[in-house]
Amino acid sequence: MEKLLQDLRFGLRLLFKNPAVTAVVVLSLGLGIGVNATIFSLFNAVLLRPLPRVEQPDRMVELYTSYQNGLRYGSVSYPDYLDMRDRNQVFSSLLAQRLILTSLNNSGQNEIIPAAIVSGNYFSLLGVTAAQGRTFVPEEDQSPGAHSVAVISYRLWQRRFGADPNLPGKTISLNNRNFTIVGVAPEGFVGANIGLAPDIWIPLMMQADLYPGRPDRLKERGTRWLDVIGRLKPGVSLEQARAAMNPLVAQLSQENPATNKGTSLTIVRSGHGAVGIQSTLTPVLTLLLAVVILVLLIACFNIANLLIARATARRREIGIRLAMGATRGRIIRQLLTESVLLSVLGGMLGLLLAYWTSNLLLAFKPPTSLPLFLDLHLDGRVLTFTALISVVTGLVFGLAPAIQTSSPALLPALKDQSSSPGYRKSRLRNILVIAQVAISLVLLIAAGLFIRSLQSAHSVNPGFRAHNLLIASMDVSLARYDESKGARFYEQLIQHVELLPGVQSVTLGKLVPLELGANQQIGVAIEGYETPQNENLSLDYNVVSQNYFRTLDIPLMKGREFSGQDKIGTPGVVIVNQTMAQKFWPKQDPLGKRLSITGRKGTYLEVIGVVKDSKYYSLREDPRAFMYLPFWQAYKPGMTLHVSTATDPEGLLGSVRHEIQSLDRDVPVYNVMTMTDHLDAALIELRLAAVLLGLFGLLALILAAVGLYGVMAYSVSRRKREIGIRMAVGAQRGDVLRLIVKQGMFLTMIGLLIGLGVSFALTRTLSTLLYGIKAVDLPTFIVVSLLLVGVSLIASLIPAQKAIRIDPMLALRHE
Amino acid sequence: MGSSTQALICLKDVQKVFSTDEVETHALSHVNLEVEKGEYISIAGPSGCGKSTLLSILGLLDSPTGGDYFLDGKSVGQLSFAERAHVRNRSVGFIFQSFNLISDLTVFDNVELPLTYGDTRAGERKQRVNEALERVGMAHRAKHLPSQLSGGEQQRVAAARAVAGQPLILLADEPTGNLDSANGETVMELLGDLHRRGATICVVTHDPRYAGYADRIVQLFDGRVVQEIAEEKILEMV
Ligand SMILES: Nc1ncnc2c1ncn2[C@@H]1O[C@H](COP(=O)(O)OP(=O)(O)O)[C@@H](O)[C@H]1O
Ligand SMILES: [Mg+2]
Repeated sequence: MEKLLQDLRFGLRLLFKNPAVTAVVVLSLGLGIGVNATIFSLFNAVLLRPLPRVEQPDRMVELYTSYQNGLRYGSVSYPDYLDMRDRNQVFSSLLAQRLILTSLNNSGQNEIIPAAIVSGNYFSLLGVTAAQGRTFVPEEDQSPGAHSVAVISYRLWQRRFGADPNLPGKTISLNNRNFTIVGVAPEGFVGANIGLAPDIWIPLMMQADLYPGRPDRLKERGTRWLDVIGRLKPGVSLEQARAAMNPLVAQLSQENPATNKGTSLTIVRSGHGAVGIQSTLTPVLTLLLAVVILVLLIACFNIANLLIARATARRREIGIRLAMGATRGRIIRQLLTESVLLSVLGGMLGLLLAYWTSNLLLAFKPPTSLPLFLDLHLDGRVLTFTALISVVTGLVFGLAPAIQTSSPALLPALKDQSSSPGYRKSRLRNILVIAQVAISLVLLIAAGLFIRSLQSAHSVNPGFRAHNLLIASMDVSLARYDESKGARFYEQLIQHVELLPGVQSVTLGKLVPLELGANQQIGVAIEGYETPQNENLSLDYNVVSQNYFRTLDIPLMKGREFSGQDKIGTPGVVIVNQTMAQKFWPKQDPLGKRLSITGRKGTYLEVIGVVKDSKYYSLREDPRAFMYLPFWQAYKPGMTLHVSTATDPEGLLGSVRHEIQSLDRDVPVYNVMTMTDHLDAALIELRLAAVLLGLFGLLALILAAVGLYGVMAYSVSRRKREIGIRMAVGAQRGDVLRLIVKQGMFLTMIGLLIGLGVSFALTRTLSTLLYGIKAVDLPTFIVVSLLLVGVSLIASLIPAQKAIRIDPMLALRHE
Repeated sequence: MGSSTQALICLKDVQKVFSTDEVETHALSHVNLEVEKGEYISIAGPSGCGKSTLLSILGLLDSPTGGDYFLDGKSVGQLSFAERAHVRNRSVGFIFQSFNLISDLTVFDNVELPLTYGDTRAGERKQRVNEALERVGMAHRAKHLPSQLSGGEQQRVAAARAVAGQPLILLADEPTGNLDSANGETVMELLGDLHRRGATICVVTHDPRYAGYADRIVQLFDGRVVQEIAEEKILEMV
C-alpha cells in the first residue's frame, strides 16, 4: 500500500512534468471513454435499466397473440385478456393497457399528451402507489363509462399543474370529456414499458371516450388491441408459465373457433417483445456500442504508442531502478500505476463529456406520435461501466510499454546506447498504427454505408408526393359523432380547406403512408379466383376519399379515381394497385373485375381504376398488392386530411388546424405536420445510425491520424541523424520528404488493405440495417479509402516538413 | 574545372557566429584559407576552437555568417538549398568521427547512398560502389549491417561512401577519434593512399602521429588561423 502511494506520487510528478503530453493523452482518452459512456448510457436506458419504480421488474412478462402464419407479437382482445387473467395459475395477475394520445385541455391550453388506457389492477400489479391521492379502485374497472377518473404522471403534475398538492379531485378535459384526477403517480414512474412513457392513465372502462375505432371492443373477442403484461407468481419460471398457458390458449381456441382458430400465445420477458422501443433499437445500439469500443481501442493505441516513445526516453531511469535491485514486477507495477492514473483522469473527462452528450442525444427524439421517453441520466451502472473501462483501458495501453520497458535486456540502457533496441519497439508501434488505420477504415466505411443509405432513402421515390404536402389527423368518434354526422363533417372540412389560399387539392386517407407501425388488412374474396385451401386471403388496404391520387401524385394507370358520387347507394367500387392487378388478373383487363370484402355471398365491389405501386408501410418493402376503398362507402371515423400545396406547406399548418377546430372544437386534432417531417420520422433509425456512426468514424479518423502523426514525428526525431547523413551526402529536400511520407503511406496502405478486407467481411452483416445500397458499396469503399489516404498524407507530411528543416550539422554534431 | 591559377578552395575573411539565447559564439573569425587541388591539409587545434565548424562550411553543411567561400572558382554564398545539396552530392565527400553510417542499411546501400541522390545509373552505381569497397578492403562485407562491423571497419565503409561519388574534396572530421591506434592507422593510410591518387583532402586531427600525412597543417585557436605549417616544417616537428 505504501509502495502504491509511492508509485502514485511519482506518477503524478511525471504527469505534471510533461503537461502537453499528459493533456493529449487525457484528451484522447476522455473522448474515447466519453463516447463509450454516452452510448452505454443509451444502451443502459434502453436495454439494461429495469423499469423504474416497478416492484421486481424482472418478474414482469409480456403476452402476445401469435398467428399461425405470420405475426408473432400481436395484441390481445379484451375477452381473451379476461379469460387468461382469471383462468391461469402462474401469474399473480395480468394487466392490460393501450397507449394512446389524448388532447388535454385545461385553462384554455390544448395539448396532445401520451396516455394509457389501463386495466384496474395496473398500478397494484406493478406495485406502484400514488404520490398524491390514490390510484384506481376495483369499482372503476367494472362498468363501461361509469367512472371518469384519471391518474397523472409526476412530470405532468409538475409541468402542467405547478405541483398543486390539492390537485386530486379537480377536473381536467381529455378529448373534451371531463375527467376527475384522483392521483399523481410517483416520481420517476414511466409506466410498464421502457421508452414509452404515458403521462395520464385512464381506466379501460372509459376507452370508448378516448380511443377511436370500435366502441364495443370490450365485448369483441376478435378485436385485438391491448398489450397484456403479467407478473410471474413467486417461484414460477418463464418456461413454466409458457407451459401452463399453452393448454389454456388452446382451450380458448376451441371455445371460440370463429375468432381464435389458429392463434397461439407468445410470452417473453418484459422488454423483449414488440411494445416499447427495445427490439427496434437493439441492433443499432449493439452496433454503436461495438463502434465506440473500437474508437476507444484506437485511442488506447495512440497512448500506448506515446508511452512506448516516452519509455524509450526513460530507459535510463528504468535501468537505474533495475540496477538498484528493483524486480521486473515492481517496475511493471509502477508503469501500470502511471498509465491507470492517466486513464482515470481520462475517464473523469469522459464522464463529463457523457453528461453533456447524453442530453444532446435526446435531441434525436423523432417527431412521432409515440410517447418516446428515455431517461439518460448517468446512474450507478454507467458510472461503474466508465470506471471499469477506464481501468481496463489503462491496463491495455500501459501493459505493452511496461513489459517492454522493464525488460532486463535493456540494462545496457545505462550505457545509453540508443541505437539498436529501438528497432523492435518501432515495429510494435508500426503494428499499432496499422491496426488504427484498419479499424478507422472499417468504422468510416460503416459510417459511409449508413450515410449513403440515408441519402438513398431520402432520394428514393416513395411513389407519392413527399414535398408540398401536409397532413392532419383527427377522429370524430371522440366527439361522439355517428356515421352520418361524421361524413357531413368531413365533407364540409374538405370544402373549407380547399378554399384556403395556397391549397391545391384536399383529400382524406385512413392511413398515412410510411407511418411507423401502422397497417391495415381486410379479408377479401375475389370473383373467379380460387383461394388455396385454408388460406384466408387478406389484403392491405386504405380508405380514401376523392382526389386522393391526385393530391398524393400517385399516377392513375387505368380507369378513374373515386369521385364524390361513389357513396352508399351507388355500386360499390374499389381501386387496386398494379401489383394486385398483376397478381389476380394477369394478362387481363382488371377494370370491371369484382371482389368482396363481406365474404363470397356478400356484395361485390367493382374495380374502377388501377394506380401505380407506391411505398405503404416502409421504404424497404417490396411491391405489395394493395387496394383502396372509397371513404363515402367505407366510412371510418378517424381520418387524416392530406393537403397538397403550391409552396412550402409549413405556413398552412396553422390555418388547416384552425379550419378543423372552427368546424368543431370538440374534435381532437393531432399530428399536424408536413409530409417531409413525417418521412423524416420514418427514417429515425437510419438517421441515428448515420449521424452517430459518422461522428464516431470521424473521431476514429482523427485519432488514427494523430496516431500516425505521433509515430511519424517520433520516427523523424529518431531518424534525425540518418536524415542529417542523407543531407550531408547530397539528399535534396524532396528526397527527404519522400523518404518520410513513403514510410507513413506504407503503414497506411497496409492498414488500408487489412481494413478493406475486414470491411468486406464485416459489412455484410450490416445489410439488414442498410437501405437501397449493397453492403459492398463501391463508391463508399473508394471515397472512404481516399479520405483516409488524404488524411494520412497530411499526418505524415507535417513530420516530413519537420524532417526537411533538420540542420544536418546539428544532427551530426552530438554523437 | 576552375582555372589553374585559382585554388580549389578559397575562404576570404570567413566568419561564423552562433547566436543562441543572447549568447553569441564566435566560432570562426576572419579565416582566410586556400587549398590547392590535390593538396592534403590537416586542421589542428584545441577542442572548441572551430575545427568542425570550419569543415562544415567547407562541406556546405553550414554557411558562414560573413566573408566569401569560393569552391572551384565559384562563390557558393548565393546558392539555393537545392544547389548546395547538389554540390555536396557531386563535389564533397565526408568522413565523420562517429562513422555516421545508417544502421538500417547494408554496407553496400550505405556506400551507394550519395550515388542514389545523383544521376548515376544503377549499373554504374553498382560498379562504383564495388570499386570503392574494394579500395577500402571491405568488398567481402557488402551485405553486412554496420552493427555487424568493428569500428575500424565501419570507418572504412564510411571512407568508401565518401569516395564513391568521386568528389572534388574529401573532408574528414577526426576520423580516428573513435578508433584504437591500429584501426586509426589503417584509416589514415587509406586517406594517404587516396591522396597519392590525386584526392584533395582536409582532415581535422589533433593526433600528432597522423600529422605527417599532410602537406600542410592549419592551426586554429579560438576561431582564428594562428599558424600554417608547411610540409618541411611538419617533418621537422615529427
Ligand atoms: N550550432 C551551434 N550553436 C551554438 N554554438 C555552436 C554550435 N556549433 C558549434 N558551436 C560553438 O562553436 C565553437 C566551435 O565549435 P566546433 O567547431 O565544434 O569546435 P571543435 O574545434 O571542437 O570542432 C564551440 O564553442 C561550440 O560550442
Ligand atoms: Mg569537432
